[in-house]
Amino acid sequence: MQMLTKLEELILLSVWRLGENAYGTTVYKHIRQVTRKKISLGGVYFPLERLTNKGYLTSYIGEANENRRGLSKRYYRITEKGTKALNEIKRINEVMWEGYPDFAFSAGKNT
Amino acid sequence: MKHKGNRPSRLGLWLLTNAYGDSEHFPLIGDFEEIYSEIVTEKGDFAASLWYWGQIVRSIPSFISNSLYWSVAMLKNYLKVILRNIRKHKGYSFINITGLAIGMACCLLISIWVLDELSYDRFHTNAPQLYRVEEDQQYSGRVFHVAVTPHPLAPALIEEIPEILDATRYVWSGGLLFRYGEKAFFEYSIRAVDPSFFQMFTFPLIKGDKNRALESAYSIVINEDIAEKYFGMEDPLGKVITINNTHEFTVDGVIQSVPHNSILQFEVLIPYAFLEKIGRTNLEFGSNSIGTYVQLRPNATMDQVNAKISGFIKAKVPDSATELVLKPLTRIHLHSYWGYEKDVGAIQYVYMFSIIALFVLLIACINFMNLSTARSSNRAKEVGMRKVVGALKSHLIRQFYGESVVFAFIALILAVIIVTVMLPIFSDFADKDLSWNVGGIVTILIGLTAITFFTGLVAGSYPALFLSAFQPVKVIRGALKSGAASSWFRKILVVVQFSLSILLVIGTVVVYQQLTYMKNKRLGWDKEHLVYIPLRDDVRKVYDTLKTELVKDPHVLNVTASSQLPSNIGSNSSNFNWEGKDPNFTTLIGNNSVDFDFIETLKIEMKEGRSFSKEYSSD
Repeated sequence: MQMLTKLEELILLSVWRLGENAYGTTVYKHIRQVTRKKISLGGVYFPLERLTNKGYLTSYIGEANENRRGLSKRYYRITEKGTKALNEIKRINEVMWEGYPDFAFSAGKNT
Repeated sequence: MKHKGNRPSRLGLWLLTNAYGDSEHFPLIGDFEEIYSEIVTEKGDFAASLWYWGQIVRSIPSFISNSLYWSVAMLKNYLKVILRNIRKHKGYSFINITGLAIGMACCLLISIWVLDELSYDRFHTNAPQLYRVEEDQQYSGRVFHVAVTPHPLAPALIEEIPEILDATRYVWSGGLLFRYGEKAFFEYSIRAVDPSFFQMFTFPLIKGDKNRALESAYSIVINEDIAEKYFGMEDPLGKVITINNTHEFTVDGVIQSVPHNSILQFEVLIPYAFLEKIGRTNLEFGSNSIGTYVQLRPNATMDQVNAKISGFIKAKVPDSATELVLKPLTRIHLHSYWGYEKDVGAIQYVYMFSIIALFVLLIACINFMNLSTARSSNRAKEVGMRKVVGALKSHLIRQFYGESVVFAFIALILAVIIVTVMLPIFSDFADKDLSWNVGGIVTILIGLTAITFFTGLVAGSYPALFLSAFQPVKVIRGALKSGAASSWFRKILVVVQFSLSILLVIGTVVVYQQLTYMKNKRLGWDKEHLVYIPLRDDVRKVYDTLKTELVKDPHVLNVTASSQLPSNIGSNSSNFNWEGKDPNFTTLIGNNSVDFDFIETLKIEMKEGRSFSKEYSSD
């Protein structure tokens, strides 16, 4: 199985967490909020597009609201393949992080 | 409108949509708008537009990579269509591409030749300051121009003309017998020069010190070929070569072989001082037989020095009417002349061939344009179909331009391959050592690329601009007629093309006839069944014996001797007198000393009088 990048992984999780309300703006805001990193709005579109092309996500054109000057939203929803991928990532992460302490300041400095 | 803030311009939105590949309903721009309006309510207009512009700036890298991706994708598509077209119309494509390629190859080969001609003697570091001293000799008002000068001129010029930094003599020494151990050969390409030669000219020494070379009268500088011929793998420096079995020369230095684009050609250099030792110099200012080269000081001009030296000989020899004149070294190859006629020199061939190269290229380009245009009329239906399927006019323009430009560039690549293959053959034919590595070739290639591009564009304009403008229905129903303007254009092109071709063909025929004439022209003597044997020093003494023996041979009709070849008499003098001669009249007469039977052997037709004969004691 092909590994996902960290950003793809985060976006996939965001789409799952946002459920019915997952579209460009909400995904962007959610990721900024969690990571506290200044990513660009455009920066989330490429992973979204890639994940859709790979079949982890599906998308459909939804309604517009007045804040958007009448332009439609493109909603994303996670597919079965996407869910499987997330499960796999979770398993790997749990194995990898197993036993890692919360405060590991002294790592590598055993003097 | 709810928000009247500084919303990004259309350019900004266009950048965004192209960078992130927004789809039909613009959900992407919608997302941007949504966040923008949120920031407006939270932090105000300024912060919001700052954010929006920030986002646009951050989209630029994606925009660039994205548009590159699409250009490459389109290029791939165009190339595919072009290859299909080539495969479908093999004959047409072959004629069109090879026609242009051969034209370009001719143009390139001639350009290489021309650039090589122009490169002569420019490799010397001091080239702009180097000059050859030449003479304008006056004979009853007529000027006879020669490039030979008196022996003592070079040192006298350094001493008396402050603008002249340095000077060297350059003497043709004739064949000498070289011997090193068992190896003995006659060497012909020998020049005697002053030690300043290496300071003035740039002939790099592989071995030895250029500041000390040729200082001793018995030192010698040889080129790498001669070094290998006599010494093989041994170090030549300090080895002794015996010349004419009497003089022992020590090898002082080894130079690289002189490049073919040098007017000074030699394999061996010996010191001028040696000629002085053996008394082969001539201290008269009135005689002239050797070359003199000078190097001016960087701030001196040629006119300045010309003014000073023109009366130089007259000052030494009062009754001489010879004027000295400088010829820039870099102009010798193309602009030098000899004798009474002041012709323009070899530069006329450079002009002539440049014009021919341009003509050939022009013909090839016109041919390419005509063929492309003619065939494109057949593609009207394709244009119609493409439009029906949804191609815009701009797509068609791009496709047709691209196609003919690619065709032209395939031709250019083919031309470069042809030139690379032909270069050795062409070098043989031109009697030169030509290669791609010639000064200015980059300019030519850039120029040719530009011409290729231009040809492609012009050839593609008819289908691109004319055909693409048609309404698909009309085209498909066959209501298309070729425009009058385009047919006029093509007619003019055809006329120009044929005129130029005919011009070149006539030129070729004239040159061919001229060459035939030169081969068959009666020279006043019969060159059929005539052989000559050059006699070297010692053999000359036994000439009479040789002649007696040769005449005994039934295959030999006649034997005679001549100091020079009848086709190449290089000795001239004005020192003649005859009854009734105007004492002020002077002219140059070529002279050649010959043996008895010369007239008979060469079957020279006598206008009056008789041949030399042993029966007259005065002969």
